[in-house]
Amino acid sequence: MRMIVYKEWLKLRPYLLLAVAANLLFAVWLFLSMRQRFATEHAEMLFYQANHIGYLFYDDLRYLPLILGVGLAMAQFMPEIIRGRLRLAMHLPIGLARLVLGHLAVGLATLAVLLAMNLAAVVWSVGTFFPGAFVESAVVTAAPWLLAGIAGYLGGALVLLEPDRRFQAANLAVAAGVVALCHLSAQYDAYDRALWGLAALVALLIPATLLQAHRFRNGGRA
Amino acid sequence: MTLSAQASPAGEAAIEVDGLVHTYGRRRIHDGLSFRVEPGRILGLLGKNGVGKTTLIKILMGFLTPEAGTCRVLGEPSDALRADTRRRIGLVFEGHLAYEFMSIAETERFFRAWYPRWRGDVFHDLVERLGLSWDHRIRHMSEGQRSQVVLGVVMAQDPDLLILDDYTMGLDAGYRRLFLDYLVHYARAGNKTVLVTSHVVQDLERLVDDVVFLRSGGRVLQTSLASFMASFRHFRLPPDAAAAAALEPDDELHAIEREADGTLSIHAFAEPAAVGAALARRGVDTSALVEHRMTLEDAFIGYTGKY
Repeated sequence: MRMIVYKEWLKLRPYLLLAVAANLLFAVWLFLSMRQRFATEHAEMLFYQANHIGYLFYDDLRYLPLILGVGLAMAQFMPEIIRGRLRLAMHLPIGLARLVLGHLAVGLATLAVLLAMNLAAVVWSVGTFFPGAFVESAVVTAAPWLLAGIAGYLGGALVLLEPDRRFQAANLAVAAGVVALCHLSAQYDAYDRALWGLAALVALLIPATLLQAHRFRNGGRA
Repeated sequence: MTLSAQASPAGEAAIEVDGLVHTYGRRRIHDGLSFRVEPGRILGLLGKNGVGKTTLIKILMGFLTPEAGTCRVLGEPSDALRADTRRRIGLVFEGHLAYEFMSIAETERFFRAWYPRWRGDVFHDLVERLGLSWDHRIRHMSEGQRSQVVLGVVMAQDPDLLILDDYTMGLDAGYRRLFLDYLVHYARAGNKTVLVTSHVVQDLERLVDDVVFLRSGGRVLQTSLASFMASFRHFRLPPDAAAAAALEPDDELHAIEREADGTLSIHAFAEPAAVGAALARRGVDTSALVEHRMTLEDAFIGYTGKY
């Protein structure tokens, strides 16, 4: 398993570098834009907008985790499926399930780092200008967006590993559906009672990806 | 160079295909295909495009499950090989698949961790001939250079069985020769079993002990190369010798074709006298019948046909 991590590190480091740089830029931009608002508007107005109107000062984050997740899936699995290169790994003396779960574990760990940076950016920016209760609310509000990032990653793997175009389209529809569920509402705390259910639904994409790898190995046959 | 192959149980074939059936939709690619590859033999799998070579290779490599029949590699079903068994099989995929994002050094570090019998000396010997630095990325290599790295990786694994799917693809004559020379020496010295396909049939003449010819309709012939080349013959008759004769191949005369200049070309598993007699019975003047020596490529085309 150590060597799977090594291979994935070699493959993913250019993407990781790019994604970390993008995340840092986003964090700085989010902080500066909020500071700019507080510098040019009355603080009471901004608190009113946040507390009563439900304005999300960190709304620009909304689709960033999804972009990171889909981008990660592309960076990790495109090199593997081009010319069927995944067959190299599939011939290694390791079981298929361990091999696939190893790849997914590396991908999810990488994504966790990137999403943690996103969350930290929100906590840093919101926490600097608003009281603690706002930070807590921001984290809960952003959580489905982060789940959308994970769904984008797992859904990307699901689509890319499928060798048959028709099944690929079906997988794309399933993945898009799960992502859409994560973006149904951007209201404060809209997912309060649904967050764990949504997380479970996203987690179901992991065994689906395992099945997909099995189909890939068998040239599109179950 | 002394290389030791792991012993197989007595009488066990390295590859055993029995009654293999495989279809794509309504198209039946293999219909009861059977053959064996004995340990230590080098077998060339030959056939024209579309007869199922790639499908068979995918089945042998464990990337397709046979619909019916059995396909055993080193004693185990090819689609359910244990990890330890996969360790004893070296695969060279069509197009010399490699991890393009790795350098030469990273490639060795990655693969050697999986193979306890890793032969660093073999890998270094092949790769150092390229004259590239060890941090040279695979993606920046030519097809020929990449083929050397891939061959180095597979040979350094010290497998008992090598399966090579069209290793010639994309290689110029020099790299093809280099690849072949190394492979021949390595396989003979280490008593390795090799199954190889190639579009450059003439190369296989220097490599293989046995051949399996796949033909359309699931017809198959397995024989030793020496026996095939000794028994399969090519004859020619000038255009006027059989101008009006309608000749069809049969059990005696394997293939009869009219060449571009009208010369009659006949291939048969028979002595010249028997071929002459068979033609005479069809009313052909055989006084100008001449036998021609064939290369393996000539014989391959004669056996499988041009079209």
